[in-house]
Amino acid sequence: MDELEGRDQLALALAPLAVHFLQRTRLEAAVLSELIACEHIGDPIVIDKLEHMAHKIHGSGAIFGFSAVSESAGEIELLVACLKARDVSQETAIGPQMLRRLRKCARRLTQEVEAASAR
Amino acid sequence: MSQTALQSVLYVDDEPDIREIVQLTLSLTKGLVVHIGESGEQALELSRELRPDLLLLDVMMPGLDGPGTLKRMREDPAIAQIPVIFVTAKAMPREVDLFRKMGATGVIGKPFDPMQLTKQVFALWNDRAIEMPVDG
Repeated sequence: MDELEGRDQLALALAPLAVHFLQRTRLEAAVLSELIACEHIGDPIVIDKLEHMAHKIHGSGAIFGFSAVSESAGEIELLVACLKARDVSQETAIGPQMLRRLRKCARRLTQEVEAASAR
Repeated sequence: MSQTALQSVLYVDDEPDIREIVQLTLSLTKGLVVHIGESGEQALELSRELRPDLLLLDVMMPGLDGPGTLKRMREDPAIAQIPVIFVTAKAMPREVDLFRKMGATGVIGKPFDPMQLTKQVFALWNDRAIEMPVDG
């Protein structure tokens, strides 16, 4: 099998996985938005869940070639990392500015998943 | 110089998507058997059971992570010699250096390009073979 043939074969094999990724990420983006909107967002369990989901979408999205989806999940991952790094003994609540940024990123992620699915 | 063909690989990652991509990609290489696992604990079990030529290991996994798995492997004579390549988003030069000091054969950065993955794996495998001491 020459290199070109191998690339075509791999692209064909990866296509259904990419479709499945987008279908699942659509649902996960909705869960992320709900978690960000929920009143327990400051809870470490919720923060860990957000981080894990965002990290997964960030990494897999890039590997599948959905760069805008990956980048928007990466922004959420970064914001969540800032949340984790905050001193909870000093600052129990999450500031409104951070919440606004997280919500904005979650909206962008949903839009990017929709746009990629439509292509 | 001792240079053996790569015939079997074990890939371990907690992300199902990435496991599937890697398995699909590497399986296109004729003669290469690809096994997969989803945790550090499974990496140890499957390494003992299957004795792969090479272990590709994610770094950030819940429970036993990549570096922890590598340390446990090096303590077990049955699997201590299996070369390990880390597949990780933590692939800055300082981190790569640290992983190599831990005993990793090499590092493949995430996100990787599936079209280039097989080449990267074989390049690191061949480099490792060149670094091996001459037998006899």
